[in-house]
Amino acid sequence: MADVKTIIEPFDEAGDAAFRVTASSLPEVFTGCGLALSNLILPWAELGGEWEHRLGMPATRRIELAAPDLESLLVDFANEIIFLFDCEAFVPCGFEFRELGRTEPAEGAGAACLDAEVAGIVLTENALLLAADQCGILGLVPKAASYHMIEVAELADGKWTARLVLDA
Amino acid sequence: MSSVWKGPLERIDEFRWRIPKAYKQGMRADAVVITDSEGLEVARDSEALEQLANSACLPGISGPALAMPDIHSGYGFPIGGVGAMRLEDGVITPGGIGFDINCGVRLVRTNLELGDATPKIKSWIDRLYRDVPSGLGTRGPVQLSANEVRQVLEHGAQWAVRSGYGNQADLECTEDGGRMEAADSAAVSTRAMERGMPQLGTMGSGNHFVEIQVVEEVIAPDVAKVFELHQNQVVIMVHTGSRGLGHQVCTDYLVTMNAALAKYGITVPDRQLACAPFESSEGQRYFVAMACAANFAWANRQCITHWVRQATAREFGSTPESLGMTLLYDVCHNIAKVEQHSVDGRLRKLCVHRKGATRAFPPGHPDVPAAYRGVGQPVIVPGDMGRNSYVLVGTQKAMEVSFGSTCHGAGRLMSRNEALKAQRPSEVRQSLAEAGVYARSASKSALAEEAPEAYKDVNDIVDITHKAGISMKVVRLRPLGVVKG
Repeated sequence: MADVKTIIEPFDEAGDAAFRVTASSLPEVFTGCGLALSNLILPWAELGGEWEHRLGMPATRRIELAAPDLESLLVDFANEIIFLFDCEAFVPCGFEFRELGRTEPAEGAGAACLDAEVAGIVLTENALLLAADQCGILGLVPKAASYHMIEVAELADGKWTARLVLDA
Repeated sequence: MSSVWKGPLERIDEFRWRIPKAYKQGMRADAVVITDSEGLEVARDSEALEQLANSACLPGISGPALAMPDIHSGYGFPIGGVGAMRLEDGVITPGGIGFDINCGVRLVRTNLELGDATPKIKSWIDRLYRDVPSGLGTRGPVQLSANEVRQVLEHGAQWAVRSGYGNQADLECTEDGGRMEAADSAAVSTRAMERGMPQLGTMGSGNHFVEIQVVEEVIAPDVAKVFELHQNQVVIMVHTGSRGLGHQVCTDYLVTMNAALAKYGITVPDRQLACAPFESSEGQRYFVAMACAANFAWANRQCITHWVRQATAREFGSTPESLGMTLLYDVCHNIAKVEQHSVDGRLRKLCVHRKGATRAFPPGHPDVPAAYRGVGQPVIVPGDMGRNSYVLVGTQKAMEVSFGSTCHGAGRLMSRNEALKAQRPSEVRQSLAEAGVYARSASKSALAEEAPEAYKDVNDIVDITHKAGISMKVVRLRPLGVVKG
């Protein structure tokens, strides 16, 4: 599991799942959002050590995105994580960003882009069957990330903050 | 993070309150909430009324933007929102429909009585838990090729019945016969199809469920007779939607619509209200893609109905036919449809967005199945898993004041986070058991997140709809057992 010096604060909004993440850099904020979402789907913080080895096979995925702004980029990033779980039962554990930030408009269609290597596990069928009998190790699988209250901003002290609301 | 409404609210009558068009710049129509004074106080303490006012800013809105009595905060429209847009100069917006396109509910009758169900409820629910897949992180029981998924998207529940999951009578008792003909699978992305292909016939998580219920009270005997419902009869309610396919269609088209805003010179007060003119290429492409997701949802509920019938037949050592497992009706909660409504004394075609609202057409309406046309459309309103649910019937009043719409459920009071803090899943299971409801859940936290206390009391919501006349009570249902996603 990545060692993130990041503040993740869940908050109540519209009956669904929402959190604010504050960290010292933009990649750390995106990492915090990715891990908060991953922990929502599979509450690994409650599973104890070595959970990755017990429940799945290690895997990596690459996420490449371009968007009109940083807020849209965060929504797309979260939606990509939900997509990877829905289609492949892939749960992220760590993120390494090769590229993340605003780009010059001349560089392409998007004004913000992201290129990340994502380490995680693919949950095995057995882990999921066992989970079902025990009333579930899975938490909440959101439908999508929304633009509702979306925020990505650099603070006066140089830290970064993001706010993300997920439709559950 | 809640905000408290400080804008104007003008009382129209006992159950209608107006936010005047003058409230803020950009509103193109009034907004009207259908509720009572207590319901209004709950709505005031959230963003829902601001969201309702925002929905009145959309171009081409016809009549007021509306909110049903179960109004609560959503994204774009509030949940419980209804917006009717003119076809010629109005827009279509994914924010007026929601991520779970055609999330909806259906009710299956049985000829079982309370006394038949009570001794078996635990094993029956356990069997439903095993046989109706949640689909969380794993593949569902219906394996589709790419060509087959296109058939599902374009033919909906009709595909399911052709494939052996149900019968013709099911289609006759489903809104639109379980198929929106406008659907064109070419407008659905490969990603959406990838998400949908393994999920057909699965319930999903969140507030989705299969629930065994009993008719606790018959309130309108004449209508109940037409609906073939009687006291102590056991029925089964299914609540789910279009799963990842619908979520992805909404996600994809929010991006399209955000890009379209500048192209068409449209300004919206909330990015979740991104939209395009209904008749534009973007608007039409979203409409036909949304229709595909709606069809997927109908096929999904039809397949789940099949698993429910099979599981119940095995539990009782019988057949679905012998157990009288017929469909009362299937209603949509999140959808946009082109419908004809009277506006200023003239019939007009409108694109009616319902987001967390149910169609409630009156007696005599041609879209009501022939078997029910004499009394009106059945409206199925789920409550929480500890209290009641209802069958209502559509009214002429709804056509006059709410574009033929009514409430869709109880409406949340607590966020999931608050509900999780309030009770552990085991405590919720215990208190439900004490109330005579046996509950199982495929996900770790669903029982706590969906605890009865997290919702408004559906009895209050339905009372308002009944007194306001936008749908009338027929029977009250009480849960016996529930499988949560």
